[in-house]
Amino acid sequence: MPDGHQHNVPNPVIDCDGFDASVAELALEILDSAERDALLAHAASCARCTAELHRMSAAADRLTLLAPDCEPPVGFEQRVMESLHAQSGAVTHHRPVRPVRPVRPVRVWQLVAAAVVLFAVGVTVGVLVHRQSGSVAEDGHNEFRYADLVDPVGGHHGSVSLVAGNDPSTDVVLTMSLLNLAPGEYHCVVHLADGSTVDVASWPIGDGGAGVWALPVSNAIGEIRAVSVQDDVGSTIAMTDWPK
Amino acid sequence: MWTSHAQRLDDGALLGAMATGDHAAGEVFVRRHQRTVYGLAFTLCRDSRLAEDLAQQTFERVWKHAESYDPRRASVKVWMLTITRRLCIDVFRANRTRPTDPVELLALLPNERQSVEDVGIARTEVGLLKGVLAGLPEDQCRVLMLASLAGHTTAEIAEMEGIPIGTAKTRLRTALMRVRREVLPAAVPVEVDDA
Repeated sequence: MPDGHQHNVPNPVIDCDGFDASVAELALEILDSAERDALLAHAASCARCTAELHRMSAAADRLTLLAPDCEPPVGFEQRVMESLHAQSGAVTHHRPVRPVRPVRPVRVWQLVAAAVVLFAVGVTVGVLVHRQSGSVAEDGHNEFRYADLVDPVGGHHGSVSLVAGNDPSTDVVLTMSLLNLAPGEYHCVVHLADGSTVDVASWPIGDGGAGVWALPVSNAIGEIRAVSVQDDVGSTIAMTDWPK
Repeated sequence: MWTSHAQRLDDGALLGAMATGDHAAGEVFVRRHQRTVYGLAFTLCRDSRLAEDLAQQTFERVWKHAESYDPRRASVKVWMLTITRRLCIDVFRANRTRPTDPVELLALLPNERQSVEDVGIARTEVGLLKGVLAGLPEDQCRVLMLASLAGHTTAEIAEMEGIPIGTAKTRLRTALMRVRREVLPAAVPVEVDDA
């Protein structure tokens, strides 16, 4: 920032009062580097000020919403897409996905439990499926499915989408958006048309109760009967189902 | 392509697909947010060519870092616009030449006779934010807008407003604390608890 005259000044020792006096400027990122470094050095050793900075930054970030929308110049969208294609190479469907824990083998008791759950879902699908769920479409090779994740009493816990690439038998991406979950370890379980299940990954959910995850799966979309979220002891928390 | 179907996805799901390198999801995301991102970039830098460049860089970073988005911290839109603002501020640090008209910035807010309910935005995140800012004393609101949407330092703001730097700092902090209190969800996740 233009306050360049302060760059040669040694970092002052900042206490909590000094931090409070400048935390708004720090959160809005309008301080010069020397002041910023001094404040961050204090925050690094002060839990109270670190928490204050997080909250003030969250407020400052929201102020960006006030800017008015404005139509970009003609051709902007195309230029951006060309740039994104260039970033990821000519063929792009297999960039590394969000790291997940190693896939764990499916346990026999889980298979039995899942089969029971699947049967129950088959009977009560009308109750379980949210009214927005179950969009199914095909465009040539590409296929897309989307459904909400709901619990047995209709509580909403996010959504699942499946997208097939050029080879719908091997090139499928599952995206799971999770909401309203207690902190803990959760498993994404794919239920196949032949009655079997695959525990494709497990993820931690933190205090916020939410997360967005994506991973490739090795089954064709047509083979996937449902997707469920299970907790670490194998209880089904929420499930979705595609229309027949 | 399945672009038409990707249009049904929310922003979080689109980011998830983008994290796997799905260009159709990226196309929908860019189309959905390009006016917002370009609008913020232009508001901050007042230069259409630079704004376009910064908006493009924003989408490139979103694409590259989609997997790092944490929905507990902010909406996708806020996360994305924060990237835009940081890119703009980096440019300001290198070369600040823009004049900023506080009146023009304040015009972004509903005036006191036009409540947020009147303009039908009260229930949105931005509607709530505008409502809070409309309720701030004008001197505080102006300082906050000059800092957040024009990237001015408190020294610059003090000079523009004809007030001591200490007064500018106090107004800025008071205004941002009120925004924090009234706009943020009850529990914005932080690394540690308040002592």
